Amino acid sequence: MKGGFLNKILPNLLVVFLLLVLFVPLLQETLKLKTFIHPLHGAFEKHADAELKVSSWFNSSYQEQKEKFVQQNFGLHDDYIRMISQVNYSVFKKPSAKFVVVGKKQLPVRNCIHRCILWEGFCG
Amino acid sequence: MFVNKTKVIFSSVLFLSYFLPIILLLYVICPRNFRNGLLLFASIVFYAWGAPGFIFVILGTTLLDFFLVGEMHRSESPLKRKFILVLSVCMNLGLLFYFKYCNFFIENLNGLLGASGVGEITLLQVVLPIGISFYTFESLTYVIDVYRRVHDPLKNFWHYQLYIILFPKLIAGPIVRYHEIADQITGREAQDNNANRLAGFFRFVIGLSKKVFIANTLSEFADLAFESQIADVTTAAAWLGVLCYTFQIYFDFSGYSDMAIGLGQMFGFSFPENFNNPYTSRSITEFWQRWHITLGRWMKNYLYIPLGGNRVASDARLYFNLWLVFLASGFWHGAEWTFIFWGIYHGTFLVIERMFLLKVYARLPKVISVAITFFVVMIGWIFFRAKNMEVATDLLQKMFSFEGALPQHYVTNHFIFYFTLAVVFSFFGLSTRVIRFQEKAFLPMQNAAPAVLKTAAACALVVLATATIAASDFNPFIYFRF
Repeated sequence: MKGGFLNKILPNLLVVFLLLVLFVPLLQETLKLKTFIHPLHGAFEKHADAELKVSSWFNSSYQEQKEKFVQQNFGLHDDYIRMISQVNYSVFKKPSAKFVVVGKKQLPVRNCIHRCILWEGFCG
Repeated sequence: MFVNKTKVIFSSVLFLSYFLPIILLLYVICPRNFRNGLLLFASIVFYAWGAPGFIFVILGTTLLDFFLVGEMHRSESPLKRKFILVLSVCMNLGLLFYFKYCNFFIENLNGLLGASGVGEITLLQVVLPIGISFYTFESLTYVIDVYRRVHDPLKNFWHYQLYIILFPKLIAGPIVRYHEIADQITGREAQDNNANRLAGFFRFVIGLSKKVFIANTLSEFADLAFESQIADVTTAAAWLGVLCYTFQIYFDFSGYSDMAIGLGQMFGFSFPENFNNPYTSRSITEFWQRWHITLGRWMKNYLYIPLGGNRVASDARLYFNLWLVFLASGFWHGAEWTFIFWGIYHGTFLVIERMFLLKVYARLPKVISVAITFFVVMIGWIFFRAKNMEVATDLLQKMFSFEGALPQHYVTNHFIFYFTLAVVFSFFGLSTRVIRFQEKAFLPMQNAAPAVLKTAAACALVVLATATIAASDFNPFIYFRF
């Protein structure tokens, strides 16, 4: 880059911007900032936080549990899931929920037949 | 063989939302004198997360190696120097053999003993430490480079430790030879700036996108062919599965390499390139100059040349050297007969090409020789991916049995989009214009507008990739097994 602005100021500004973007989930999680998106609903297994002990660290059970917990509880988790689900549906007509298929009119419908065949109960 | 299930992988929420931002921020605000210390601490945490027990083995062996190599460098006695070289090489290869190959030999020995009615040897309860194949090779380059007097050894143990354990390249390469990085460890001020950090982040995100969007999407279809009962797989599904795996492994591994190179650049390092449009190769010989370049160079410098290389008395010896190097390369990938066969398969093609095939390719139009090479590589991947030789031969038979079309539910918009991207990005290197564009794309930014645009695009992609990872299950890199 040529000149003081291009050489120094712009890369510095862009790195600050980049760090801000990377820190957004951590900031949201720490400061419990409110977002505009409703929390996720539905049935899924909630993972508990891991308890750190010397034995659990060395047999890797702490790391395994912590990763599962983080995957579910990092800042903006629900917002990210809703966003990527919307992107996949809008661009590819790909449903993200397990028992949902895209119907003839390109609208998402619940795949009750599939669940009934697998004897997973009535879903209305 | 047991492999660690947990590891901080680059394409994980833990890495993208916690590890990377925290380490990058600390690195940027840290005084230059403390930056290596910070990177070493981060690398130890990174490795200890995935291999908590083995971190002590790696610290211990590096300590021993450091003092052995220092002693070798100071010594004027050729005999003592050679003795220390052999000792260090045996120690490093011994560790690799114990953790990676011991059970393979016991299993095969048990097969022979069982056939002759003798009792069996109990298998060892060992966990394969992540990245052992990669850092063993790097440890070997340290001792051999110093022995050959290519470069002086490092004076500070923690600098040597940083070379071995540096987290961007620790687990799956690129395999950085000691003399390539030695000076960067002790002084990289010229490259350690924010313009390089931005270029590195862009490269990292390109790699992340290759892995998360392309490789992971194609893996679903590859798994359907390789993991289903062979009777349930149609000929068309077998072809699609093998094709998907061919693209998956490229985007998975080259994606990882891009991430590693990009991360290195963010911290001021310049790692060697690992891929150069390998599917545009006109021969298997050329393919190995474009695929996993750092492994190819390691094999050439530390195995092929010591064997005599091209300067041998007869053609037969030359072909044997080539074949042996590829057998070793296959075995390096894993202690399985499938990998050994894959190495032999490539080695055999290399020998045939040296004998006459290269002359035939030279007369063919480029598109034809590229297509033939792609086909040969694709068939090779079947053995690389299959869990045993039986699955590989069954799938191969199915591909040429012409039974059944593709099931209707297979092809979705989502798959078509990413499959098309995979094809385009795999073959766009056939155009010289694209190559020039590709070379420019990863350079530090020269003008304000592209710099802003590239950073904004990288930030948008990292958010999309994090969201995709959050919505998916565990997605390890293929090369983490090795």
